Amino acid sequence: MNPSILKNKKSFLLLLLMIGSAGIVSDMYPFINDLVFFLFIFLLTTRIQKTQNIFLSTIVVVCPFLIVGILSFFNPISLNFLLNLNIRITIAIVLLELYLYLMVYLISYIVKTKFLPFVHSQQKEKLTAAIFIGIFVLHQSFEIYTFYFGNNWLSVVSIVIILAFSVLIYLFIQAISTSQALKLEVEKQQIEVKYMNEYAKETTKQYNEIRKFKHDYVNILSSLEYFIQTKDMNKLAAYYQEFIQPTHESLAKGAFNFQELKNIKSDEIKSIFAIKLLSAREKELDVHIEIPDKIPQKLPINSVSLVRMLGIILDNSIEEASQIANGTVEIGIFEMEMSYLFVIKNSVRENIEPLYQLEIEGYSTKGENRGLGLSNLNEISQKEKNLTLETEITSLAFIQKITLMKGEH
Amino acid sequence: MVPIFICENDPIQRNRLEDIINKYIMIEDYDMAITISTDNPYEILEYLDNHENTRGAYFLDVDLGQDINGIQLGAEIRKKDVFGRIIFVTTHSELMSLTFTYKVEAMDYIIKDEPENIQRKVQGCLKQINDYYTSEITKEEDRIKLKINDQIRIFELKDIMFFETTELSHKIKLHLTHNRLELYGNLKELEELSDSFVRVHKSYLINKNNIVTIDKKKREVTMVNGEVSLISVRKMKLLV
Repeated sequence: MNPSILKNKKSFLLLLLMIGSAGIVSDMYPFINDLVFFLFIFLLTTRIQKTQNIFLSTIVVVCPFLIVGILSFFNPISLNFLLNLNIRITIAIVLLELYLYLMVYLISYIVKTKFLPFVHSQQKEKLTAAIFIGIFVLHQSFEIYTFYFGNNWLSVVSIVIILAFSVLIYLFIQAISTSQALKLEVEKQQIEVKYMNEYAKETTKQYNEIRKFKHDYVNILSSLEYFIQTKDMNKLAAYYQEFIQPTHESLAKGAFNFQELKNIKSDEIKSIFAIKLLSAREKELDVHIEIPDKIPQKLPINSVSLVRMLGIILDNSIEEASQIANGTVEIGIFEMEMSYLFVIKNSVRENIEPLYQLEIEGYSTKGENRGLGLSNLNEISQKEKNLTLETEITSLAFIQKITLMKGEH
Repeated sequence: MVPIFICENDPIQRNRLEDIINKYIMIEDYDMAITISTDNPYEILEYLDNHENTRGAYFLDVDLGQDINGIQLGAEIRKKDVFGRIIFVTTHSELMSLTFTYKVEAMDYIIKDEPENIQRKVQGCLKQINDYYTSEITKEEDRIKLKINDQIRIFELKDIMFFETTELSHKIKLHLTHNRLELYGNLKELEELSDSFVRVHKSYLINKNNIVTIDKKKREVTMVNGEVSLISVRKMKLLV
């Protein structure tokens, strides 16, 4: 069967139809009730919480049914115990109710505070979800089978329905989890493509600039030749002042290559710095770079995360520093004994807000998405195992450090 | 006594530096002395190899005219004397301020320009070194040591607001007065480091000395730097 059941509208409608017919069946044959309930809650959760971990939500949905199953297994025992106490039947039932309520509360509490975080931290969501659903389906089949046992053909039909449902549930979970993984992958690639495009665009721009310069250079030479031949020193001086002097400046400033970045061997890292350096140059910002050690091609991290983080940090630094007089950005990349260290430091405006305020999602002094940077940065960093982020703010500078551990952590 | 090391290949500069340091130590009566003054970087490294646990102050020229430069020497010294105070002496063209500060964790750097400036800077550094080593002895309980990535760093308790868990089970976020940083560890271990630390929430360990207000309704604690930590109802009694 095609795993993209969620995208295929027909299969989805079919699924709904099956649930509908099961609803009618359950009206007549109450033992399928649980199953129908389960499917409805399950579908609802997956539709509402699309971004969440599908396996975790499956566990959450199955849990109540398992709790009910376990408790109803012990119910006759508890009731017998209460009846043996020689108390009135009404009191016994009230006590039983209280006991059930307490048990449900207790179990749910343990599941919520201990079990789910444990499963999440061990990254065993998939296995746990499979086991839970397995137990649930087995339990349901057993109940139905014993209820209809030997009575009529319905026992067979019910079990077929249950099996069909479990296959569907399985396919459904598969489809959602693959689509979640795909979405993440696509997002990563989009970012990569975006940066590569920007880099290519900038390189072309630089190439054109060099070509233009070459062309101008030839023209300049021929004019000079003309003035020298005619021995018109006044015109020569004027021409020099007007046309040649300025090229000197543009040559120095434009610096057609990124000599400072030569020690970075990783293309992605180099390109993000190159792009941001160009944008800093456009803003005529003073950028100071120190990369004394070789930074290898292969770094112990998902390069997309690192490039995204560096992009955000550099954007923020350039933005902030370009708005103050004599603002500077300093960039340093170092190989330490057990790690690689990226330091980006920029001067800040007077009376800059405290860090926690700058970090609030959407906070900005200039409106429109600017404040998103820092909270995004934190979010990415919190998911990366081998990387730590440090942010410091002083009255003079904003300093961000990314440390990449060389070994596993 | 704090041993002072000088590595500078220009004899005139070296003599001047020795002179400034000796005079200032005498005037201020600091518990320091120049142990080695040399143009050979390996002499200092050899001394450190033979005297483990040396905690000194180092004035290093960047261009040593040898097979290693001052920055590399600094990095080697850092491996042998983790908390040593390193000061670079450099010309303007060799200035690598980020490398000094972050790769070698130098305390400061001195630019060889006008003699008066050099003298003033060296004296400032000596004062700072003296403050560092004397406060180190007296107030051990007011600071904690934490392993941040591959280095051990000292934090003053008054700067620590709280620790917070992250999405990754071994990654903890530390909130300081003007800093945020991430480290590997868990709240249970961190709680042991000081009596001022209180575990007020499953995900938060706060420094109770830096609390300003507790909002019982919102279950929030506001710290002296304005940051807010969560607090659970059951842990409220630990604080009031």
